[in-house]
Amino acid sequence: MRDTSNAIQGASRDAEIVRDVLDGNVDAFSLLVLRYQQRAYAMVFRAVRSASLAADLTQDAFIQAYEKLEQFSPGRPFYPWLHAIALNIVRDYYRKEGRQDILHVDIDSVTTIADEPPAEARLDMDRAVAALEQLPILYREALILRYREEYEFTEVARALNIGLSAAKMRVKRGLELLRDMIGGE
Amino acid sequence: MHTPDKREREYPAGLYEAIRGYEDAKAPAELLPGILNGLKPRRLSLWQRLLRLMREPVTVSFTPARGIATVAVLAVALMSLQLVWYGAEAPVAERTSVLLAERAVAVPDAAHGTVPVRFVLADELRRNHSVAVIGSFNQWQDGGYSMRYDTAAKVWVLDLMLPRGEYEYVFLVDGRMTIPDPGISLVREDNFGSRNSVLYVGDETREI
Repeated sequence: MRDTSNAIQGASRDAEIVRDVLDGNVDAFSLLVLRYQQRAYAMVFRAVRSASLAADLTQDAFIQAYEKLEQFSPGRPFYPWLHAIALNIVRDYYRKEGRQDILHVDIDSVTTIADEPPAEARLDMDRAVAALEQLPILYREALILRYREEYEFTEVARALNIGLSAAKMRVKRGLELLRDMIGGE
Repeated sequence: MHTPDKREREYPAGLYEAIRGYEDAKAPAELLPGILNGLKPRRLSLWQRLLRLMREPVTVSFTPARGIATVAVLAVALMSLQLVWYGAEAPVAERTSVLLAERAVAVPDAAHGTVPVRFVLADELRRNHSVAVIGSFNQWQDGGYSMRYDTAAKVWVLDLMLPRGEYEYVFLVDGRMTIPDPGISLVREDNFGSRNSVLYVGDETREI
């Protein structure tokens, strides 16, 4: 599990930086950018698959976070809040592009990428990664937050801006989809 | 590391490995300056401005010539005050002005033409573990330029003797973050999009 004391310490430090920014110290915001730009950019890139577009949307996300910083709840981790903002910006982008299908995926339409079981373990991993990349963004993000970032379900829910039970369901469905896509049991 | 619960063990272990090992695209270097350039200063209420003013450190810049003149004027004023207070025959407390002079005036190193400069960074809650000053005067290396924490004033302080000239510098916080001096109004962007504070050290040491 994630080191809880480190997480609490990080949240407390984020809250202090946020207070500085709200007091008018614009430069303090650069500390939050330095800390979270990589994670935010990576998430947006996973969603749009374009380096320049991901940079633009990530920039929009940070600027929007700065502008609505009063709405951030001190004591809570900053990144899930930023993640939710970035995800909304990705949603808005696809909405404007008329590509809402990317975010509202019919699960039955997700194709299986392997018909035969893999022969080697390494192949297993490659196929699993390929399947992860093909997974609809909302499921992929839920799985990455839960199992790579090791977020609690409450934090996954906050980052995806959905309820707790919906977050659990999304992780479960994501795992099922992934398993089906690589042809697992 | 996350330990799969009973339900999660229903899925092949390779799934979790793939998720944990999923590599991210690297954020481009221009992302940070792009974001910082897009931020507009926040409009603060009068109360917030007052609070901020009270929290900020006050930086005093002076030249040796002006410092000596100021101390001399202060000394004369103090002595005059005492004369008025105690009467013309009252003894003068000479040590007062001498001590003031010793404390207030940093003597320039005439042999090398250097001038004393004090760098100050407020850190009331001591949130940072270490702070150093890096700039054009030390080739942006922090070795030997670490600041000491003044627990009484709750600020990080570094006193340097610098040759006259114009310098750019930033504070290196905890060895990994750089911030311009909040007490200096002029910042200049370098070729990498970072913002550096600008200081002029000369006969009239001042921020420009």
